[in-house]
Amino acid sequence: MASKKTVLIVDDHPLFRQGIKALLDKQPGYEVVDEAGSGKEAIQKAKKLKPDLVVMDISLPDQSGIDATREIIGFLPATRIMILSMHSKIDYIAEAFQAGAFGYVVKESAVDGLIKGLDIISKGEYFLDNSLSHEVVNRLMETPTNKTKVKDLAYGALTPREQEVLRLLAEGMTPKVIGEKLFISPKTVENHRANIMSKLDLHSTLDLVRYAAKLGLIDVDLWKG
Amino acid sequence: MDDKAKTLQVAIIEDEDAHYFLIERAIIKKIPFSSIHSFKSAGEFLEKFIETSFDIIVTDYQLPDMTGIELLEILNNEGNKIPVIMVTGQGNEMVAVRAMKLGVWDYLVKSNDFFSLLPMVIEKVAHERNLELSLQKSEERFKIVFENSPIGIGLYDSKGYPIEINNSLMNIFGISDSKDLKKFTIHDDVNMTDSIKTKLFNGETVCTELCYNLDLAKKAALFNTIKSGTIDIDLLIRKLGSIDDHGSSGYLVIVQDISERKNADANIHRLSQQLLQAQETERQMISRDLHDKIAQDLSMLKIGCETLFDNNGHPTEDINKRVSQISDILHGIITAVRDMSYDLRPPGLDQFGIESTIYQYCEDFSEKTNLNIDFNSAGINDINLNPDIEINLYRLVQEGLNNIRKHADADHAIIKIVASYPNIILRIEDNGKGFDVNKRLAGLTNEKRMGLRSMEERVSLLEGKMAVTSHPGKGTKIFIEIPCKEKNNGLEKNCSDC
Repeated sequence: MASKKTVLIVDDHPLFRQGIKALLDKQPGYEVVDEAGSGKEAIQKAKKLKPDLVVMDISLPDQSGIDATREIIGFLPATRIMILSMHSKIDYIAEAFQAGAFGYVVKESAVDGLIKGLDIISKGEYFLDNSLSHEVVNRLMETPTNKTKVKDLAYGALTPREQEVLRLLAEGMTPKVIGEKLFISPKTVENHRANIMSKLDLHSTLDLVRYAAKLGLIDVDLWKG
Repeated sequence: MDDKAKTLQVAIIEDEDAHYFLIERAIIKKIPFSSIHSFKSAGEFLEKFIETSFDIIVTDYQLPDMTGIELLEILNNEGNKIPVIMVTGQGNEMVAVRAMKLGVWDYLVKSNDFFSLLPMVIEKVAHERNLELSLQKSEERFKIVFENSPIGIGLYDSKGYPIEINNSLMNIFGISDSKDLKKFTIHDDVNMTDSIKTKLFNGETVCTELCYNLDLAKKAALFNTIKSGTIDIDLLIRKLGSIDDHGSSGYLVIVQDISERKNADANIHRLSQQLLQAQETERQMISRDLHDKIAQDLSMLKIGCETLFDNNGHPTEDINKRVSQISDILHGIITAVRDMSYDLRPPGLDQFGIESTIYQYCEDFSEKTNLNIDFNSAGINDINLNPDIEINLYRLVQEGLNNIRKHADADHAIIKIVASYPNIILRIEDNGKGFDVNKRLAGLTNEKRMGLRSMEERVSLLEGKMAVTSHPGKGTKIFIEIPCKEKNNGLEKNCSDC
């Protein structure tokens, strides 16, 4: 009944794979069925062997382990993937979980963390290495008063031409002058302007200038007010 | 010059012996350091005239072989510069006027006080002559300076036509015939920019560096030149109040060829850009090696260390303790190596994009330094930026924030990055103590200012422009705008359409 969980180890470093294999071989519950040194090889072998678990490195010679994870989860949704990486930055962790990984362990805590983590993700739960808690909690506790990150998604919806027109409008140019500058008719400029206002949900010229200043398209004295 | 010590050489042309002796006596009495040469006729005088250098010529009007006027004419034809005093028996206005017109220095009638008057006149003429000579000498000296100056100098009239130009000016432009230059005015020169013309028009001094296009000048048929292409010149045009006796105004034009210096500057510029690129490549390599090789191997070592006795009997308590200590040290080294690698090259630039990476950097920076940073980005993630631009944008933010930390004494900074087709705008602003931009630019090589300098190099590497505004006590704003180059199927495509 207690059948061993099959494991595929993916890492471009043979010595490191050996170390992980040695670690897992001592565990009665796991059986390393194969190893892969690249993303492509990992995907091929996963397809063939359908392992229960994959231990995946992020830095691979051909592609990122995170992309490989996404792909494997695509055809083996039941397979649990544990990221085992040198990286400890929050972005990697977030991206790994978004791609479908269930656990994240940094390499230097492999001995303590990997087996514990594999036990947990086998049961269908998420696992995060203890040493990463600091980084993650910090991000969660970010106080908005200290730093603000404004990311304007609506702006990205503007076409290049609309970006040009917006800046020139904010600089105070008339549609006629803008038209001459961009070799388009004033009427086209007016059309662009209407589209910009609607895409950005702006309702007056003042709104538009404020918006452009906030983004940094034009300069206003920020320290006066 | 010691004029007094010099003997005054006086030539007297007088055919009446009695008269001559009286004249000689009168002169020697009054002017002891004079030496008198006597000639009986114009012909006799003209024979000696070439070989003897006289200071003054005194001639009677009525000579046996010709009149004094005829003699004057001959002397003038010979290019004579020696002052001539004419003496006549009876006053004749017609003769006096002729003589004056022919350039005689003075005209004396043999009246009662003639013998006391003549020495005085001679002294006066000698004095004037000396003044004239020293003026001539100083003029010659200035001429030498003018002609031998390596700087091109030209004197132009109020219309802008050249009056006097030196050889250097012609050499700079490769002109062999100065007549060429006299055909056109400064205003006609196709290479003069509108701003120069406006300044000339307003009577302001022009002081500028100019890239002078010789081919353009040739094409406009301004002048013939043996040079071609462009030369970099340092140009100064100053309006002069009066350049002649009539008080007409004109221009002084000073031109220096700075092509060589410009060239050297360009080389330095190129070199420092190559340096920047080399530094980036090197950092990337070292960072990758640290992260993917050294940190990886150390992790291996740590795992090996921790599993050393897993299959080999039972180590003593002491050995277990030491293994655990070694493992802790390894952990410390791995963390340090990884931090080093991250410092050298931002992790995840390829993976998560420039926006997220810069944001992460601001976060870490803020945490380390207590500087509040507002980060604001728009439209950046929608473009697939060329990696060179990405890393340099990141470095600009890094250098900008480090400058703020080191020099600004600020507690708040703003980073704004926004795509504004066809460019990308980056603003780095702080509320610190600010500085005098002009003063700082003047002393840019000062090590403290290298931060700004290296940012400028980076911006020009990206073919962008950078503007710094700051006032003491009022913070600093850096505005950077660079053309955005997209990475497109491995082909680099410039998305600017200009």
